Amino acid sequence: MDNKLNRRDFFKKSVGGASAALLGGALLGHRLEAALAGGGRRPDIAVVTGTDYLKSAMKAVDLLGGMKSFIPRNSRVAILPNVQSHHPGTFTKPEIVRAVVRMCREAGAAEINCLSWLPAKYWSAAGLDAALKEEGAVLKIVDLKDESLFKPISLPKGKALREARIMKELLSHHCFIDMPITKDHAGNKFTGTMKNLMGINSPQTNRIFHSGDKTKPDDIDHLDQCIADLNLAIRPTLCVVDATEIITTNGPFGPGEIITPRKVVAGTDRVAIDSYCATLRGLRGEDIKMIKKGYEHGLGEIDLAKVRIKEVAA
Amino acid sequence: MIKRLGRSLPGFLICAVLLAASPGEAQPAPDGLSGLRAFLPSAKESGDWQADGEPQEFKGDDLYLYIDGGAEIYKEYGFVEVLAQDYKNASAEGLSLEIFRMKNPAAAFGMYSFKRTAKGEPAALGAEGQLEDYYLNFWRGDCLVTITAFGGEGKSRDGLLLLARAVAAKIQGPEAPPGLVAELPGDGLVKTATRYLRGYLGFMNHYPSLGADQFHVQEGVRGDYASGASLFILRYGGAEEAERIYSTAGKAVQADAKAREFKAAGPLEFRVLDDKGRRLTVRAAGRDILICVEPAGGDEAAKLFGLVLKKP
Repeated sequence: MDNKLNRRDFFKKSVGGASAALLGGALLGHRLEAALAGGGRRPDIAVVTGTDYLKSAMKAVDLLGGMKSFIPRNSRVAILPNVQSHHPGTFTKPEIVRAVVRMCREAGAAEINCLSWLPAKYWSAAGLDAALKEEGAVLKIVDLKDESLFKPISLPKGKALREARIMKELLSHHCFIDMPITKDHAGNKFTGTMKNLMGINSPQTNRIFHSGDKTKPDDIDHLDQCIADLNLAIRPTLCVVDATEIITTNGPFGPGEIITPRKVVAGTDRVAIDSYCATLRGLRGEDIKMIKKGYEHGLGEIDLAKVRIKEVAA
Repeated sequence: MIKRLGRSLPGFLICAVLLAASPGEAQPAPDGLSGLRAFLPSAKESGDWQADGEPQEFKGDDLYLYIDGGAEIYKEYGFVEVLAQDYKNASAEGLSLEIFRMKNPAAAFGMYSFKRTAKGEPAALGAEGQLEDYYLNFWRGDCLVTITAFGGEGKSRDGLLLLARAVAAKIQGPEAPPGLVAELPGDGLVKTATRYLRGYLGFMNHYPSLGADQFHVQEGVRGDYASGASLFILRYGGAEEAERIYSTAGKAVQADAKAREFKAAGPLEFRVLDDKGRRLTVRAAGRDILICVEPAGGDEAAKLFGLVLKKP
């Protein structure tokens, strides 16, 4: 029995209810399979530093066992880059998106769709729509005014959020790749893998992520808890994070001060990845409430001393 | 001829309205949002940089449609409306011009101070302007202007300044920062790094130490000094309120697991080391709370506090 057959078998089971692939424990099984497939201990987080961001993204995923470890043949893959503005250091670089789409294609993905409810103009201004088209992915803009395009999901273990409404379109995919740029956020100080999932919520859900006055500590605490709660339900197949050129002030929109770690970070443990990315700005996971709340939910490891991190040059 | 006069008349009227506005008041926007369009550079003024698409305009809560996830800080300072216009030159380099109308000049200065960086280079634009690596900000009256360059190193800097000068020439209004800014001691002050604060978000983003949630900031200012110290003056409604907040904040900081060597230095002052090894000195002084954050071995707090308290 080879791995390919195992993977196909695994996805046959989960494709029947596509939502289960994304929302259930099945992905954990897939992760385990991916980790064992290489016959050795693969890193939890792969970090590649260099100026060729396409190459860095490819190498980071290779260090985790390659895209085939995550994406079965003939699967439908949803990707979620971040493009809140086209100010420098605020959106996922087109080169990184290119790399991920290309790797998915090479792994045999049947379809790769970039999901968003942000206007198409944002994607063209950032050069991302061109990158998607040229690599063979499709940009699917969901009409944010049409609530029927969003599906309620229950969050029984949520502390602040008991239900979210997420894009129905996402649920028709077998795999989901979370692709944020890590950067500053003037409200909760950090954007990364966990916060990026707000990009699949309906605007109605995002509104209840705020409890009242959006400028008060209580509201920010509530926002952080809601983000952690949402992450209980949605487990990305893989996270590929842009930590190349990032704003450290006036986020998430910018313009602001930019640092250039020139790193691409990949892995599946969102808490560990976000904790690692926080260190690039002189912070620790414990300094960011959202990351702490994710850790408290058991979403991952906050103590980087307990995380296998492989850092290499591109 | 009649047509040309007809076109220029609204512009003339706008200038008259702006010049007549009394200091400190938000200037009325003729025909609603279109008032900001009067500040856009003409095709002649923008030289090689030509408008790329139509301007976008957002007012009030619609700011969230423009700045998804980042509108709160503008709201904290007092946002009214924004106009955004992109530009391109023949080499396909891009610039984005944003003109924000804030609630009053203090709000415009506050947001300006929030967005600038300590490394910025002063630029003679509006009441005060600063050129950063790839963008610039300036403010005058109740307007804040931000121009950002997208890629290309060739003509972008010249473009930033060209557009900024054209816009600055059209915006009138008060030029004095809020009075609290002048209460920062001037000796050793890094002027490009002064921040004016109007609430928790601004404070939290510029306060690096313990108890950020506890000071309930309504108005404040941060000054950075060549010595490495940062001084905060937080102003409250009166001495009773300041002392109450001081007391609550002191207890919270003392109980914080990250705090070390907490010492009361009198009934209204405490000192503590934070988890990054910085010394934090906090004092209640009349209607103010003064905070000094400095390297562990620093001893600027007493001097800076003394200079603040000497001011009339």
